Amino acid sequence: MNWFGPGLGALALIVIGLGFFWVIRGEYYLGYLWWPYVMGLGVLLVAASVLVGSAWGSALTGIVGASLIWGSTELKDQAVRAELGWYPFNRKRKPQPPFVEQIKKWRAPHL
Amino acid sequence: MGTLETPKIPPRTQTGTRSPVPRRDEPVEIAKAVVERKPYLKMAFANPYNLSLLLGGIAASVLTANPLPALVALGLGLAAETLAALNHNLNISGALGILGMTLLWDALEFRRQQKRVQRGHAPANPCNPRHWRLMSQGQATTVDWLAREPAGRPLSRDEILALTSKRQTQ
Repeated sequence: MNWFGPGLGALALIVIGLGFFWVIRGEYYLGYLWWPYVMGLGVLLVAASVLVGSAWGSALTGIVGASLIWGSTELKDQAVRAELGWYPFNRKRKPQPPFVEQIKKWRAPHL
Repeated sequence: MGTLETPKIPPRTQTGTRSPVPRRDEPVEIAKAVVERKPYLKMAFANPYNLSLLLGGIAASVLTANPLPALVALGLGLAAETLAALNHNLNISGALGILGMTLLWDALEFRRQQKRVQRGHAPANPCNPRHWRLMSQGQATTVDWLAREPAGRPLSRDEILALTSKRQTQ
C-alpha cells in the first residue's frame, strides 16, 4: 500500500477546510482589500514548492499556496455575504493594506 | 534508538490467503503476477470497503432525495482513493489522492448547494426541474448575490429588496 496519495488527499482536505475558516476570519478582521497580498503569497508558495526536495513538503507547499490563491478570490464574496447579513459584519475600522487606493481601483477576483 | 536491528517480518499465515497487494520485499515477478491477476480498476471498485460505503451513500442519497450527482462523486472519490493507495508512483498516487478527496467533498457539497439554493443564497437555475419546483414554492431565486462589489456597510432590508427586484428585471 502507498499512503502518499490518500494521506496527501486528507491533508489537502484539511487545508481546504482551514481555508473556509481563515477566509471568514480574515475578512472579518482585515477586510477584503488584502486580497492581492494573499494571492501574491499563494503564488510565491506555489513557485517555492518546485524548490522543495521532499515530495511531502513540495506537495503540501503547493496545496497551501493554491488554497491561498483560492481564498484571495473568496475574500470579496465573503465581504458581500457579511453585508447581506449571512455572516457577522465587523463594524470596527479595519486595517488598510499598503497601496489601498490602488487596490480599490482593481476589480477584486471572483470565481 | 541508535541500535541496528534486523527488521521484523511478520510470519506468513498458514491459511493460504494472501494480501491482494504485494509487499515491497517480495520478488518483482510475484508482484507482477499478483497485480496482473487483480487489475487496479477491479480492485478499486469491487472491494468490500468501497461497496459498503457505496451502499451507505445510496441510503444517504435516498434520504436526502438528491441521489445521482452525490452518488457519482462518492463512487469516483472512493475509487480514486483506492487507486491512489495501490499505485507506487508518487505523482499518480498524489494526484489521485487529492482528486479522490475533493470528489468525496463534492459528494457532501451537492447537498449543501441544494440547501443554499433553497435558502436563496445561491442562484437557482429555472431550467432545472428541481430548482423550478423550489422557485414555484417561493423558496429560491435566480439572483446571484455575490456578483456585486462590496458596499463597505451592512445593507438594509429595503436595499436588499431593491437589489432583488433590480436583478430579476435584468
